[in-house]
Amino acid sequence: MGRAEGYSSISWLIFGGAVVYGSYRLGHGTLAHPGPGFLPFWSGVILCGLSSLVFVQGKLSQQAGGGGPLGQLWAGLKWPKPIYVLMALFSYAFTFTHLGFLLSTTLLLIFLFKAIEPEKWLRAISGAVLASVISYVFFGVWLQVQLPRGFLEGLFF
Amino acid sequence: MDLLGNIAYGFSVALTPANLLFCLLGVFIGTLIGVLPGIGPVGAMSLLLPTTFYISPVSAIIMLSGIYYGCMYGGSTTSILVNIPGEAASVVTCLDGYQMARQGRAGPALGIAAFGSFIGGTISLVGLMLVAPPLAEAALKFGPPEYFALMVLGMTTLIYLASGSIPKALMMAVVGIILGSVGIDATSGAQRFTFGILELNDGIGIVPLVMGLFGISEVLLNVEQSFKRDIFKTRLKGLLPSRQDWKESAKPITRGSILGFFLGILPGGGALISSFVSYAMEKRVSKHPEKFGQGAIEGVAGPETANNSATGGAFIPLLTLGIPANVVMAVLLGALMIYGMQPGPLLMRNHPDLFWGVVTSMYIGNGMLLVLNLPLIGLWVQVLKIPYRILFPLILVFCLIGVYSINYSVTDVLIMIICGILGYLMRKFKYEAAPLVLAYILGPMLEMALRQSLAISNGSFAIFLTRPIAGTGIVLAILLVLSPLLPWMRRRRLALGEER
Repeated sequence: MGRAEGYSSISWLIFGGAVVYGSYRLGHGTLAHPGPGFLPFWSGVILCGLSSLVFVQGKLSQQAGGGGPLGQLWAGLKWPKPIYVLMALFSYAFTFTHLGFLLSTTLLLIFLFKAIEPEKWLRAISGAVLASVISYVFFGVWLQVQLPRGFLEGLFF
Repeated sequence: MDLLGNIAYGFSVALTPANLLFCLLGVFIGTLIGVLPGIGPVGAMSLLLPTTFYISPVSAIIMLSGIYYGCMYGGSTTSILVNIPGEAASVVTCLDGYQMARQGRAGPALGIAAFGSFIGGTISLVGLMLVAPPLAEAALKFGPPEYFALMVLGMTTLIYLASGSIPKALMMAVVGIILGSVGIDATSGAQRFTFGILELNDGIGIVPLVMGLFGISEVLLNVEQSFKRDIFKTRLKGLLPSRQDWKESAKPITRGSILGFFLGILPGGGALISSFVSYAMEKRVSKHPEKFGQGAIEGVAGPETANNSATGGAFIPLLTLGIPANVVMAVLLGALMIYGMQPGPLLMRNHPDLFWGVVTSMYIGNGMLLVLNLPLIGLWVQVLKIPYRILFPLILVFCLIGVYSINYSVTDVLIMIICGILGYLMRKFKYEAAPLVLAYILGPMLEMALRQSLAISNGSFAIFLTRPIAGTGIVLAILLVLSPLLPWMRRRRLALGEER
């Protein structure tokens, strides 16, 4: 884990530094009357300190022969699949208010059924339509969740 | 009202048709989640949290609690039949439970797990009823320094018990505090880390955070590997343990009940730790420790009892002090706050229906689990056969709808996906999510207690050491943080001695 520790700790160090900067601008206040930036500032400082410690631990482990390249974390795994899932989720989040719940959920499910462990088209489409309709009935009709209807509003609803 | 009067009142709340239905629903869903590897009680509770906004808070907490202890029952089924723990607290059950199944004794293993869980759950509830009221009375005298110290101790214990590196767990707790500070500062009204996004004024929601860190990240990890389960084919017969099984399990069940209850109360403890400690203890006291790992029924009875008993114990710090002992309780705390209730010593006084209703519903729920689960084991085995490629898209859709339905906000959905990526990377790089979530929940309360304490003491940190309860908590927390240094110091001293 040596090299991986290095990358992860540097990321946390940058995050901690950003928090320190942001909370410094918010203002500490005094010890008797701590301001809004007091706790985040010191949390950021501690995070920077701890990530430096983890970085040093990673370097020492690397010097002792521990840890391979970063890619080892994904060795032997189907690493593109999480990326497909994330792409589908982001696309869903950005489009489902426009397309409406039923259409966007059906499309999302068809993609997930086909892209990850390919199902036959008929099964993928029928499964996606069925699951979308059931979830619409459960959440939208029974629990009265206001699911977006998108551009189909007025056509079917 | 005396204890018996309170219990009677609790039953009058828990036995209403609606609450009975939600209790049944909770334990059923909990068992289902426990059976299905890869979701877990935290993910399931946060997934269903938005749906509970449409029912009364008492029914909602009854259902969410049912999911928690129902998971403990369900988890044992997969451990025994598939050698895959349905959730973390059942890991240790695999060792002997699966071996029993291989020897054709799956029935007694499942049976003793269910009976042990029932007995452990019931004993811990009696403990909860006896301990909670006096503790809540005592907690009324606590001030901000005491609360600050207890929260620090709670977080430190969880960090100490983290399975990986302590600096990393500490880092996650700090990140949790930072994430908890996002939004409008309650004291000054200043906007903190909102970046002009209106939805962040109220902070990052617990549901998107938890669903992302636990639910989405779990899916991302699972889809990148082949997910095959081999169910051990055996005929399930004779679920009722024999007289010999009972004889061998009686003491482990008794010990597991007591141990689980006390470990459940401890901050950072809970079902997982208690099951491991119970297994280790049973092996140590056994006259035949060599049988452990080869199908010893004590290795199933003790841990399964302890993990269920711990669930009752874990409610004590939450309901009396408002401090969650573990991540599941942190989610319940979040739920209570969403319902407009402040968990703590006044909860019992201000909302007796909630406190006593939930506690007594757990008696009923434990009974339901026992009656329902043994006949339904065949159904759970069928559930195990659902392929993950069908299951994961549905989990994702439920997560998306669940998060969206809270505020009808796409920002919340995006936060959940981003937290999912964060959770996935954290697991890859061996950072634990539990300290982050607990610190995120406790962060705002911790900050308030810290600022109030410093205002009381006019800026002196000595207030945390001069008051007995606060001082004890802080000293214990410091000792816990420093304890990993002890072996290093001992080695260093030995090395110096050799050099001389």
